[in-house]
Amino acid sequence: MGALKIADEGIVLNLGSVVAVDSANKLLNDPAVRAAYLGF
Amino acid sequence: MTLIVEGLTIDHGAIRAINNVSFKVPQGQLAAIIGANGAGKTTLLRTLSGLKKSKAGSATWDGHSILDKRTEDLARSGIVHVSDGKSVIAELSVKENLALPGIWRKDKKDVAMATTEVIEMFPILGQRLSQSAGSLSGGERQMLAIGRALIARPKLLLLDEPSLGLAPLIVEQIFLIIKSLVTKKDLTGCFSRTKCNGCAQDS
Repeated sequence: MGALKIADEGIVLNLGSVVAVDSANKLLNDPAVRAAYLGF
Repeated sequence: MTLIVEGLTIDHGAIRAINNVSFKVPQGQLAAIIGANGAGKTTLLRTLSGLKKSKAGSATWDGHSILDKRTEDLARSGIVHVSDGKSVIAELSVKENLALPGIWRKDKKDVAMATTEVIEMFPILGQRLSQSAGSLSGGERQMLAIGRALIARPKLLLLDEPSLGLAPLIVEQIFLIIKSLVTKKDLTGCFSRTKCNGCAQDS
């Protein structure tokens, strides 16, 4: 079970800046976020 | 009660660690802060719990600023930080670790009640009360760290890398615990998680 599966909200950080902030569900289903920041 | 972070900027000396970060976490919700090593996750959480000073921006909980306050005052108001990995005191027993929030909490009756609740929630801790915290497994240590935080009766729980160094099955167990706490106790939670390249189950 991944972090975004239990979370309501997700905040993705890269080098100190927010690159994505949305409901965890939306982030999980966003191909660009998945590829760039979630590693699969 | 909502955690509102707006334009938060934090420096480590000459280096900008957190740049203009904004997000909201409404009461009863759980937020995951995800990023690679060095993304600023720990810095962000440490600043929200008063362990580090901010450079610019704001962070409020229940309408009150929480930036640049003393950590102990924030803890008294219900903002409780669980730092990563080895946040329990290895030399102290499980029982002594659990007794730490009772040092500053005035309502001793409620401390006793909260301690009983924690031991019911984590029976393994009840079996290990006299053992040193250093002798616990990684998952048990994390349960102890979370349990100790609960004795402080948090309203906003900030968990830095609760899954750090744990086996996948134990990570799942800890995540389920965090999820059920937020749901059942109507807590608001933020936890950080390092992204893990090529690790398909890590979402």
